[in-house]
Amino acid sequence: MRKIAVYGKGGIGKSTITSSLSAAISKLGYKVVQIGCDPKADSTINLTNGQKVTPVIQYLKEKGSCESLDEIAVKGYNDIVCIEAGGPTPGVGCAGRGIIMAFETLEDLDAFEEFKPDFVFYDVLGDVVCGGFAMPIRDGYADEVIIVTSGEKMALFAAGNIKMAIDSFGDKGYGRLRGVILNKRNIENEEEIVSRYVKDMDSEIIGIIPRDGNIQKYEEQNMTVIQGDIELPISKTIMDIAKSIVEGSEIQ
Amino acid sequence: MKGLYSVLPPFAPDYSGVSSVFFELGGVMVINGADGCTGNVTGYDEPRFYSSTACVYSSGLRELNAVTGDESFIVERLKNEKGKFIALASTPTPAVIGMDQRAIAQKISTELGVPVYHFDTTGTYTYEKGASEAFARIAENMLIDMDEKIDNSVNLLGAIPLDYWNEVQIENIKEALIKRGIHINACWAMGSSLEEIRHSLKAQMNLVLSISALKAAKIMKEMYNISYVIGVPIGRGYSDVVADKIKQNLGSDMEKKEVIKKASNVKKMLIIGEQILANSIRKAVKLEYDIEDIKVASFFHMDKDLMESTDKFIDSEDSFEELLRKSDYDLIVGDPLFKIFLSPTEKKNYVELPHLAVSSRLYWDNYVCYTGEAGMEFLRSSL
Repeated sequence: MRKIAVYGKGGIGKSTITSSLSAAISKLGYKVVQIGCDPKADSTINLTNGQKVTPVIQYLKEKGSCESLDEIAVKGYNDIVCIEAGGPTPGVGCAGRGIIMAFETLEDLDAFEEFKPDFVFYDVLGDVVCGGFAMPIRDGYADEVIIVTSGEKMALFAAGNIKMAIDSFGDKGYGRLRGVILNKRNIENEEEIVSRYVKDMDSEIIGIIPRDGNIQKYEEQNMTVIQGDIELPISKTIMDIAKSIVEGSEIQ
Repeated sequence: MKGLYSVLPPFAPDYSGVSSVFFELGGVMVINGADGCTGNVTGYDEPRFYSSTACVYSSGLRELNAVTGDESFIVERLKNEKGKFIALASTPTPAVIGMDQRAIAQKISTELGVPVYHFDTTGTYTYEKGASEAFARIAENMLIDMDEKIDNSVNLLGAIPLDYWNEVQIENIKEALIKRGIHINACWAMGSSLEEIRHSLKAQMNLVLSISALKAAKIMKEMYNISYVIGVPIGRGYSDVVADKIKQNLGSDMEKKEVIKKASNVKKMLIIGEQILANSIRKAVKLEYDIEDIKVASFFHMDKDLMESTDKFIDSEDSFEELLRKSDYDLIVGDPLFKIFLSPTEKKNYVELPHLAVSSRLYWDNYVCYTGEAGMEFLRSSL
C-alpha cells in the first residue's frame, strides 16, 4: 500500500488534481482510497457524482462515536473509497485536531485492513500550518508528499513553506517529498519559473497539467475529466502522471 | 443533558491509567502537559505516590511551547534522568495541538539511549483505556522470549491501585491461588519488579484481574500462545473455581464439588464497578447464595463477551439514574459516591466498595477487603 499526501496553496486545484489522480490510478487497475482533510469536506465530490459523504467529525459530533465504516465511507467512481475528515464550523474550534480525531477513528475502525487499498491519497487543506495538518505525513500515514503549485508567487511561496516543513520533520521519519505537480495558470514563462523554483527546492516536477476547459466542464457535472472522457488529451496527460506515480521508485 | 456530570467528580483519566501501570517498574513517567495533569495523577489517582520514590514528572509544557510547537524542551529536561525506561503520556493540550508523541519518544530514546514508550492519551478518556494501552505495550515490547516454564504458574495481569487499592488486596489473591497449588510468577503491575515482569513468559498462563489487562492477555495469547483465564478469587468457593479453571487449562482433571446454596432475602442485586471485579463478585455470590438476579453495571469500558444480557454500560449520570429508577434493588454494591443518587430507603441496602478511579482519596482510607478467601465478608451480613 502506498500512501500519498497532496499539499499546496488554497485554491490551487489540489482536490481536482487529487481526485483526477485517484480516478486515473483506479483506471490502471489499483484500489484507491481518497481522504479529504479539509473542514469544507468537498475533496471527493467529483468522485461521487455529487453524492454527499458524511464527514467523520460531523458524524462523531452527532452520534458520539462511529461503529462502522459504512457510515462515513462512500464508494465512488470505479470503486474509489471516498472519506471526508470534516472539521469545525468556520471561525470556531480546531481544524487540525479534527484531522487527528478523524484519523484515529479510521484507525479504530481498521479502515485500511477493511478496504485493502493499493493507494491512499490524503488531500490536505492548504499549508502545514499546525500539528494537525502534519498528521497525514506522520510516521504510519503518508510516506510520500506531492505539492501542487502554479507559477504564481504566492503558490510557490506556499510550496516552499511546505518543503521547509517536510525538511524540518526529517529526523522524525515523516513522509518525504516525491515531487511537484504544476497546475498551470498560463502566466508568462510559467514552466521556467516553476522549474527554477523546484530545482532550488531540491525536488522535481513530476507532472504538468495545462489549463483545459474540460476539467471545469466535467467538474460542473460532479465528475473528474477521467470519468468524463478518458480519451481527451487532458485525460491522457493525467493518466501519464498517474503512471509515473505508480512506477515511481522509493524516495530516499 | 447526556454526558454532563453534575454530581460525580471527573473519573481518573487515561494518563493516570498509564502512570499507574508503570509506577513500580523503575522508569520515569512523564506526563506531557501543564503541571496540573501531573498533580492530578500524584495527588488524586496514585495512593502509592507519597510513600514512594517513583519518578512521575510533568513535562512542564507552557503556552509558548504549545503555540510554537517546541518539543525540544522535553528532551532537555530529561537529559540527566537515569530511569530504566521512560513512559511518555499525553494530556489535553498536546492532544489538541497534535504534538507527535511517537516522534518525541524516538528523539528522547536516541538522545538518552533508553527505551521510551509513548501513549497518545488525551485526558478525555477514563483510566482503563490508558492502562490497557500500557499493559499492551508491556506485552508487545518488554517481554524476554524464553523456553523455560514453571509448572502450574500464572501471571496476574491488571493489578493497579485504581481498581485494587493496595498491595494487601493483591496478596489476598496470591494467597488464595498459592493455597490451591498455583505458583505466581509475575504480577502486572503491583509487587513485581520490571525484571520479574520481563520474565513473564516463564508462566504457563495468565489470570486477568481487570478489564485493563484483557488486551494484553489477548496479545500474549497471539504472540506467545499463553492462554488466559478471567476472574478474581473472591470467597472460598469462587477462589476454588478460578483455581480450577487455571488447572483445567493446564491439563489437570478437576474433582466436581457440590455446593449447597444458602437462602437469602436478597432477590435483586446490582453491582457497580470495574467489570471483571464486579463479575467475580457476582459469581462468588451466586455460588454461595440462591440469588439469581444480579446485574453488573459500570461507568468504565465493558467487554461485550463478558456481559450478561441485563448488564449495563453506564454512559452518563442520566443513564445511571434511569438504571436505578427502573428496578427495585434489594442490594446495591458500589463506590460510596454513587449513594448520592439513591433515596434514603435504598441507601440502607447499599454496601460500600470504594473504587479509587471514582472517588479517589475521599474514601481511600476506608479500607474494604474484597479479594481472596475473605473477599466475601464485606458483603455477607447484607446477603
